[in-house]
Amino acid sequence: MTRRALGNVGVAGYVLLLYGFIYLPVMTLVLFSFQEGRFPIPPFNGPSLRWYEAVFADGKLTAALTNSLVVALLSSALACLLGFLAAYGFARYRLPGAGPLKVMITAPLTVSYLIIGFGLLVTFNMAGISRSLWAVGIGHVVINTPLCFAIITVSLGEHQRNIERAARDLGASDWQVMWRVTAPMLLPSIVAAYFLSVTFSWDEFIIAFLLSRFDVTLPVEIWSLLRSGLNPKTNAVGSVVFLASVAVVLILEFVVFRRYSSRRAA
Amino acid sequence: MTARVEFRGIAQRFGTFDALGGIDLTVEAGEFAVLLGPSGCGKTTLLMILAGFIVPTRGEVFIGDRQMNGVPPARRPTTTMFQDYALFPHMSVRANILFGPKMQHVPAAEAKARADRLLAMVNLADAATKKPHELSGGQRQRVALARALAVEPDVLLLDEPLGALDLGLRKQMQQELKHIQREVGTTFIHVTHDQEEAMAIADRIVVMNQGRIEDHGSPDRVYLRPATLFSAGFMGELNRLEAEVGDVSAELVSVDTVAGKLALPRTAAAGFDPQVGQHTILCFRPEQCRPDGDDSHADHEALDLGECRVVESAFFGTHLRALLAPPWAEAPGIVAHFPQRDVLKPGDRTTLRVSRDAAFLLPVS
Amino acid sequence: MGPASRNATGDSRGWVFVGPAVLWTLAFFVVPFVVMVGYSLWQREGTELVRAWSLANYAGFFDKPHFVEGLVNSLEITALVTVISIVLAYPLAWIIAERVPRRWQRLALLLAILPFWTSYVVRSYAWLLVLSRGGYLNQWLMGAGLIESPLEIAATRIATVTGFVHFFVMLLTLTIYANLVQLSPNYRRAAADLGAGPLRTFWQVILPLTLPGIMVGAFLTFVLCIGDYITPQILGGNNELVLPQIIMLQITRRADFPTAAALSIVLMVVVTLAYIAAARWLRMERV
Repeated sequence: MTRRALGNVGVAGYVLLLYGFIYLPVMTLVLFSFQEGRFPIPPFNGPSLRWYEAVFADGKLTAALTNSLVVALLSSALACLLGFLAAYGFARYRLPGAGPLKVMITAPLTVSYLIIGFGLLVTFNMAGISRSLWAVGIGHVVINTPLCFAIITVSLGEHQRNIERAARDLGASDWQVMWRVTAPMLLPSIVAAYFLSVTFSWDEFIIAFLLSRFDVTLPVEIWSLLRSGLNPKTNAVGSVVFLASVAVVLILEFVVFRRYSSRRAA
Repeated sequence: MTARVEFRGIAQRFGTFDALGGIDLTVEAGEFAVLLGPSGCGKTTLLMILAGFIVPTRGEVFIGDRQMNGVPPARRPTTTMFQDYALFPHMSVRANILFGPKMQHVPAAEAKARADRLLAMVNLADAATKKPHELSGGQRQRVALARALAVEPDVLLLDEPLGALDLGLRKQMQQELKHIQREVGTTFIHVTHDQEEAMAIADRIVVMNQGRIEDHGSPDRVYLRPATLFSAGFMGELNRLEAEVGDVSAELVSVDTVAGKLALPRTAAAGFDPQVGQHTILCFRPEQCRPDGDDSHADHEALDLGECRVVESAFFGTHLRALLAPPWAEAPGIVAHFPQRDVLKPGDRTTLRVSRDAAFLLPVS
Repeated sequence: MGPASRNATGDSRGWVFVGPAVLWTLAFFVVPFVVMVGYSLWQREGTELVRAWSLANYAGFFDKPHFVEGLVNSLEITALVTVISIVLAYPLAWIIAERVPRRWQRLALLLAILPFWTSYVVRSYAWLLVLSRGGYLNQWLMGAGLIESPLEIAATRIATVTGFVHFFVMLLTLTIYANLVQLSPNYRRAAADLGAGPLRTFWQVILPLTLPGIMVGAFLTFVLCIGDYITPQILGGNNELVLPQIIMLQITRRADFPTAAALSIVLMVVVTLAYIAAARWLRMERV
């Protein structure tokens, strides 16, 4: 064998090994969601859909799923709006103290969710605000606003500034510039920020755990399922979440972003 | 659809940096003026002040008879064509052109007629429904021009619009710009750092440096009789010799140089009054050097600068470019362009003669 | 265009745009942080909250061996995870960027990070399935005759590290790939042109050029790893606690908010120190 061929075998082996490592837990998860028996460990006896039936029959799980969706979609919309407005304001106006303020807005990115959640918990306690999905939503806006702000700031360069100037020069007012030119022009990055934000909120556990009480989000509900140990029902709900998320990712990748990236390449 | 532009004492400070120091300039209605200078000379700042994007620290801007200070960009009778075109990426070519008329509440029928006329003028009628990313650089540039003209400005401001195009396309667009400017009659103010581009399109060139105007006038005047050394050097390659003024008469100025005593026409010192004993620089351009055997003019019309050694020579197509070491210096110091049929090799000797009418004197600043 | 060019329409309007995000962050991030600092200076005695300012909670941190141990565990696990993840992810990112044909790169990358979208809680649980006594790993090892009785991997540090590494290999593959593809191919061509072999080119040109990107990825890994509760709780269990687990114990079991607040601040200080170190290193690198 030549050295090059040996190298190729090494490369292929490494890739297989790592993809195997990356997919091992997911595959195990999905496989044993079809387990007939009560334990999601080998040997596999199935396939059976009984645990999926159990998931959809579980009112608490489906309620949690709805809660998660509502919190993710709404909190991300607000985070995106706050982030977009702030990015636009900082990029287009000279404001005293802009530097420290930008640091403050992005600071939550570097702080553990546990600490953000705990901080909100003690503060809400003092203020007499009770734990609820609203509180969870507030927490999720806190963690996602800096994300949206950062993503949108990056896409507001000097070229975009000239485009806005051109619009103003042609007679558009400030609001017209923002809604007719800036926002549509930045749509790809706003969509990306919104989607990423939804993902983070949808998946977030610790803030939701600390700040919710009776109505909980899906990760918190799954967490309480885990108390009962290894259980194919957990596999089933995990698989549903995974496949639904993957479907959304693939749709975005192949429908939305493919279009934009081909446009950018042109 | 056209107007005179006047700057009075415009100064601009950015922090501690003086970007512009007291600019006075008038551009007549319908003129094609070019602001020319190296990067950082303040030319774009001056353009942005005229557009209203920058509020000057001091001074006044007039368009027509109207004082413009405090008028926002949208309300000025100017539009800007940006260096990166700044086309709206999410709108079609037609929507880009219609944007301005729409913002000004021009009736739809008239706006459409305008767009059609402009699309035809810039040869893009077929591309009206395309998005900017589907167009070539030259086409984008034309859309930007059409969009800017669609609001029928009195003054069109062009911020290095040809900088991103390759050489061939740039020359073609220069021609088109000049042609369209004649057609619409709008005052064009164009910024560039390319002196060839400036000469190709301008009715008037304004040479700027370090926030000041060095020179302004017609292209031939600025090239042939520049007002300052900077302007002379920026407009094209230049040979310089130190010269001390000897006699001054009504017709002649004689100067002492390392090449000997030379007599020049009085017009060689165009922008100043030469004083006896004054230190000046004698300037001439490479193409103003005469080949050795050229007898088409009588000898007394050429300045004889002595026999030089050829250090390097290269064929440039339109001419032969030679680097010469003059007799008074060891180092090569003179660049000369000779007719393309001349043959000069390194080591050859040639007599350096310069057209007496072409050489000019400039004071040492 | 001068950098200090100014918007002619006036500056005060900027606050309309910036205001909402600033106020939100103030109300729900800065104020909670201040409240937390305040809490960390109070004490809890029995079931009572004593509102007397003191540094007792911080002093107590070093008196209680299991707090210090938690911090040490956190640091050890985080360091281990960061190093292993980079070592595993870099070659994969490099192979995708250099060996995979251009049109398949996006797909290969997408595939490498797809399990990202398993729910975070579920992902740790899935590893528990693999690593448990009756799980696939033990089955294979026994089938191959390498071990005779199943290994206790779940509820150990190995399990925690495995779960973390899985997550960060995906994340780092993404960031390192992004770093590699933006390098001009001319660097490699120039190095090859000057006579460097592939290995030398990699060590002396490509790796140093991607080092800042790796540092950013490493910092991200550090921050996310050291502050995480889920993975150590599900996979590591209660045998060996990390700092976030201890904080959660104070909050949920003991309702001792002052101690939890003090421990949170300690955690934040550690992250801030790492941030300063990373930022200083990056700045030095740029000079």
